[in-house]
Amino acid sequence: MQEEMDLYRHTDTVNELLARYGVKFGIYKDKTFHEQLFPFDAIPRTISAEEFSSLERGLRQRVDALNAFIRDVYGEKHILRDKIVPEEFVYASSGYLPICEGVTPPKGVYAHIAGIDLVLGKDGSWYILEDNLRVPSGASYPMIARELCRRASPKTFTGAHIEDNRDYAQLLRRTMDHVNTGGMTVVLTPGRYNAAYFEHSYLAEQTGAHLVTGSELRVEGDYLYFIGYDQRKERVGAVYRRISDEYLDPMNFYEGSLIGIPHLYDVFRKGNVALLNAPGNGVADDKGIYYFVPKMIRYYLGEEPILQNAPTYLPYYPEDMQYVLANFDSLVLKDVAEAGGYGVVFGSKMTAGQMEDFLRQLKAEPRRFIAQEVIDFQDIDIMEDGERVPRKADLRAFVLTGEETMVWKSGLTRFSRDPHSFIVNSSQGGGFKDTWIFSR
Amino acid sequence: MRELRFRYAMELRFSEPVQEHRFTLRCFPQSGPRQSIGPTTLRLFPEVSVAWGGDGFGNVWAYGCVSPPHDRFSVEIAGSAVTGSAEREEALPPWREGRFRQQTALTRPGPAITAFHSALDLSGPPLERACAAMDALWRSFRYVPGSTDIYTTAEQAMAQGMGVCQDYAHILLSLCRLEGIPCRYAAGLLPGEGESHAWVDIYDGGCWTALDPTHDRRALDGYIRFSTGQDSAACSISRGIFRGFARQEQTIHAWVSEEEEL
Repeated sequence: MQEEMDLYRHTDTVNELLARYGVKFGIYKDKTFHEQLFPFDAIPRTISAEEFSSLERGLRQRVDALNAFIRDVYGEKHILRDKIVPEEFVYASSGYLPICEGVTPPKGVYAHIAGIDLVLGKDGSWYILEDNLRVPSGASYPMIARELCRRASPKTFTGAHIEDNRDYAQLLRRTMDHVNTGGMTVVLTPGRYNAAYFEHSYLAEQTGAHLVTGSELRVEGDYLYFIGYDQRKERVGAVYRRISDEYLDPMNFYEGSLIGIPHLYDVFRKGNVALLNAPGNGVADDKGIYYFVPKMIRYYLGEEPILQNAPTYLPYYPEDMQYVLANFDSLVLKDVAEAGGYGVVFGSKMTAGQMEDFLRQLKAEPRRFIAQEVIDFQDIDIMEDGERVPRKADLRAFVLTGEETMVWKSGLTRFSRDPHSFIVNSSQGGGFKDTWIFSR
Repeated sequence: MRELRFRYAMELRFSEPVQEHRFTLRCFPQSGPRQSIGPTTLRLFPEVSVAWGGDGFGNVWAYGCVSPPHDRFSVEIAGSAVTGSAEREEALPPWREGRFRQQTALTRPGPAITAFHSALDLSGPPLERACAAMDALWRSFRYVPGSTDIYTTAEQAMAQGMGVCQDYAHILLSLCRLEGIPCRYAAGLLPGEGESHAWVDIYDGGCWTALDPTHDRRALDGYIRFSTGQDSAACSISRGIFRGFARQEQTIHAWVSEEEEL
C-alpha cells in the first residue's frame, strides 16, 4: 500500500505528462469539435491472476464465436437456416453491408482487434456490456499511462507482481503480420483532427508500422501501394485502418469520402491486402445482435458461455415486450443504432411526457430497441481533491485474433466522474485508469 | 432462343479537364443458364488498362484510373449473345438469398406504395403474385422519359404516377418485398437502339425468373443482362469520381440487333 501511495502523489505529474504527449481525445457534439484531455486516475483497477484466467477464457470464447458468426453471415448462413438468429436482425442491422457478401478476408479473420466492454457486478461476476468489432479504440491510454507511472514512481512496480502491459504492441504486430498478404504494414488514420489521433500515432510508432493518411495510399491494378513523399512506391500488405467502413473507399462505400482510398475494397476482395478490422463487422456488434451472442457460442463452439450478458430483452419478441412494459422503471433502454453512450435512457429517469414519446417509438419500431436490467456494478475508488471517492467504472478488454486468439493482460478502465452517472464513455466526459493484472 | 449482336457506348464530357478520374464499369454480361456471351471487345478512351472485379454471384466489373487531365472519357463494349436459352436460373437456397427480401433506400415503401399494395388482391406462389403486381402496376403507371432521375425512389415515382424502366423495376421490387418475396434488380440491354434497360428477377421455387415490368411480360428472348443487385445503385453501369470542378454530360448509345451493325 505504501508503494501505491507513492504513485498517487504523482497523479498530477502523470496527467501533465499525458497532456504534454498529446493524450487527448476529441468529440463532435452539436456539430463542433472539442478536444479534451482524458483525465487519468492513478488508483488502478486490479485483477487477480485467477480471476483474469477465467476472464481470458471467456473473452477468447466470445470473440471466436463472433468471428465465426461474421464469416457465416457473409458466407453460408447456417445460423439463419437454423433460425438461431432471425434473418431480419441481420439484414436490418446498419452494420450489415451487402457488398461483403461472399468475400473472405485473408486467413478468414474478420475481427482482429476486438474491444469488449465489461462491468463487475456487486455479485462478483463480470457481465458483458457490448462488443466493439469495428474500430475499438483505447489500448494506447493504459499503455502510455503505465509507461509514465513507471517513470514517475518506479518503486511502485518493483516487487509488485504486475503483468507488463507494454507488450500490446507485440501482440498487435503479430496480429497484423499474420494476415499481411505481402508488403508494408500501415496504420491508416483520418488525420490529426480525429478523436483518437494520439492513439493512431502511438500504436504506429510502437508497432513499427507506417502512420499514413488516405492520400498516401493508392490502388493500382490489383494491389495497394504506399506512395512516399519522393514518389517511391511500395506494396502494402496490411492496413490497420482507423477509418470507419463507410469512409474507407469512395468507389465502394460513401462516395463523398475524401479520406478513403478509391478501389481499396476491390483489392481487399481479391485477397491482395488485409484490412484490420474487416469491413462489415458491424453486423456482429450491433446492440440487437448482442442478445444472440450466448446462442452463437453454443451454436458454433458447442460450449456453454463462460461470460454472461447483462440480462437483455428484445421488444421484438412479444413476451419480451410485455416484460419491458411491465418493468419499465427498472430497465435501461438502448437504441441499437446509436453508440458512444448516446441513445441510452433509463426508464426510471424519464418524465411522463418523455416516457409517452418513448413508448410510442418503442411500439412503432420494436426492432430498434433493446432493454436491459440495470446492473448494480461495483464502484471503484478514484482520487478527487485528495480524497478517495467511489465511482462507476467499466473495463474494455482487448482481444486480438491472429494465429491464435489472445487477450491483452491489461485493459482500459473508464470511470464516470459524475457520482450519479452509470455512463462511462469518454465522449461523455469520463476519465480512465490503468488495469493491473497480477501475475500471481 | 435468339442470337444477337450488341454494342454499348457511354461517353462523359467534362466542361473543363479533370484528373485522377477513378471509374468502375458494370457493363460486362456473363454467360449463364439464361444467356451465353460470345467474345467481346472493350475500348476505352483515354486508353488505360483496367483491373477486373467480380462478386461470385455472376457480376463482373472493370475498374481503373485516368490520371492525366482529360475532358472526355468514353467506353464501348461490343459482342454477341445468345439469349432466352432458359426460362429460369437456379438460385442459392432461400436462407442465402434473404438480403433480396430487404427493402433498400431506393425501394422502401411509403404511403403511395403501401396504399397501392393494399389494394392488390394477391394470392398463389411468389411468381404468380409478382406477375399480378406487375400487371396492376403497368395499368396504372405511365412511361414518361425524363420524369425521374437515377436518385428517384420507388415511393417518389409511385406518388407521381410516372417514370422510366428503373422506376418500374424499383416499384415492383418494393411490392414483392412487401409480399416477402426475394427479388433483385437486373440491368442490361434490349433489342433496339437507345439506352440501357432494367427489369426484375423473382425468386420462386429455388430459381430466379425474370419479369420486365416496363413491358408487363416475362423477360426472356432478347434480354442481355449486365448485372444484378438489391437495387439500381448496386448495378450502376458507370460510377466515377475525379479531381476538378467540371460539370459532366453523359451520352449513352445502346444497340442490340440480330443483324450486323452497319
